[in-house]
Amino acid sequence: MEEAFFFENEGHRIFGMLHYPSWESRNGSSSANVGIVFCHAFGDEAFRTHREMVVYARRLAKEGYAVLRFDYRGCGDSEGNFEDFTLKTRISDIRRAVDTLVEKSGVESIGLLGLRFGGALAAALATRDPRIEYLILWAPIVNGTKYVQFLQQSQMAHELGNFGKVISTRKRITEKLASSGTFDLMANIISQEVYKELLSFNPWKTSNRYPKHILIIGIEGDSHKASSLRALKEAYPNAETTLIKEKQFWFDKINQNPSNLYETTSQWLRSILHDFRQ
Amino acid sequence: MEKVVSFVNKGLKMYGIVHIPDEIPVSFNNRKIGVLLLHAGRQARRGPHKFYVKVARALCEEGFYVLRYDNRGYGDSEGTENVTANEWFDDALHAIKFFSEYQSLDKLILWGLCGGSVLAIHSAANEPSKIDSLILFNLIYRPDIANSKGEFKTVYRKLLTLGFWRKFFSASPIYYIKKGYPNVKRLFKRAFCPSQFEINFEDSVIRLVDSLPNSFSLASKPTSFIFSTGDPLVGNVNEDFLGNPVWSKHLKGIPIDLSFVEGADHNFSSVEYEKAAIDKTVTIAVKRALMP
Repeated sequence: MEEAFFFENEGHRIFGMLHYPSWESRNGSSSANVGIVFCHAFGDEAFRTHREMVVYARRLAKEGYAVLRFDYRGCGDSEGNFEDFTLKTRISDIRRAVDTLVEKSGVESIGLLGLRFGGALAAALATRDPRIEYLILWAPIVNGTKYVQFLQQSQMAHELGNFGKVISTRKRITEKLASSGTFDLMANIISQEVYKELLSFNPWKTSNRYPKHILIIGIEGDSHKASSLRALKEAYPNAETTLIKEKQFWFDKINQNPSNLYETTSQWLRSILHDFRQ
Repeated sequence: MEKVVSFVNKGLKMYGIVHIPDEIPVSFNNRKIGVLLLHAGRQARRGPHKFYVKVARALCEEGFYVLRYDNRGYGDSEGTENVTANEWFDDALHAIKFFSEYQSLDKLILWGLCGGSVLAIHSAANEPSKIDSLILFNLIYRPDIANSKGEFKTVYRKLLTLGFWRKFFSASPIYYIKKGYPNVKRLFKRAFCPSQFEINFEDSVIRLVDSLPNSFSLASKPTSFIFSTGDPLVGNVNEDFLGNPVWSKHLKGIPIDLSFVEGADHNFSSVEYEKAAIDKTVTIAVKRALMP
């Protein structure tokens, strides 16, 4: 069963979709008390990967987990404009999504699954919120500065491919940010505040608190994967890191689900279930 | 106000969002006027850069009821991606019925982008009494470019021009190759070694595009065509669309208007192009709403 609804955070409406665990899988299953909040990627990467997240949420529900997907404020169907919200508000939205999942499904063990920049945001909350017992990161963004460079390159490639010329050179973006305080990333407006937050974002620095179970999956062919995984292994010595062969589905729409990614994640989840409250 | 809604078609649950205006303008004469957004194929109700969300919110601000929903196999709706365009057409008909009844609409305008525009024309032909008019962005009007082979030839024709390579090397070539290569490879594979699913899907698209002129005259609804001049799939509108003997025969006698968003790409993916598309939508819809 699924339930689509709006919930509130700091006076704004957030779109959520709760996938309840299927009854068949609940009977005698150790996953019945376990919930997962999905943290989607940034900007148009979220648009391109939406269906892959939906398909996996449905699969996890069949495997007995309660899954909540939601759109951060300013994204997707949630209230507000993209440019009006920050990385801090996104982390606050994840926290509220966790509250909502607990309230609506009654699960006692909660984890976060984050894709790309959603992984970085999920990690940021996991270091602060003791309710987060496990963390799954799919091809996470490790370095905010490099991610900004990647977004700029994406914009340049997009402009060259679609408009036949590059408008957004780094110099022009800097000038635009200085003059108007924003820049146009494929019709998503990046505010100066978010730009600065992205440049300095580092949830991976050593923390006193991190979840007991962490799975980090890198995708072969993702240019930053090796150094990213090394950096994450240093930050989270207890994490299980793995590199798998999979399509980089955040780049462009593929008509094929990332089944290796799904399978690796589900297997790992099964392997840690014994640790959760039944 | 925005509300989550769902309707069931052939046992599959389709999800959407209805935008309900705070008040209906006096100029609408107390009529509830709806706009149904039909998304481009292989997209969903939010759209790239939330394009459909922004279009819906802008229309709702002006007093329109708006429904945007996910076709089967896409967005949050049920079903697999193994679909045909005919099934999406069926979803569109169900959405029209659902939206008209759910909000007790007095008038319904269909709005489409790309494949959504194709569905809008066929839906209007199928349900002429329920539809008032059409607003169609970047309609795919040529069957020869409605499949991967045509798309490949059209989009990648620019690879053969000197101008493209000059710009290419002045930008960020390594990144561009990295990002562009998988797209070219995928489109090439779809065009020249397609799976059975792709063959079935593209056959259904071509059939729908092929029969568009006929459906257009059957529907016979006031229509606004808006094209992006930077979209290679649009082609030469004057020659290939208005000048095409089949289309010109079927366009005759139906009130149409034609406008362009200069330089824009297929999905209006810059703030400037997006704003132009939204402004045009609102202006046209308000004009239609004021008509008796």
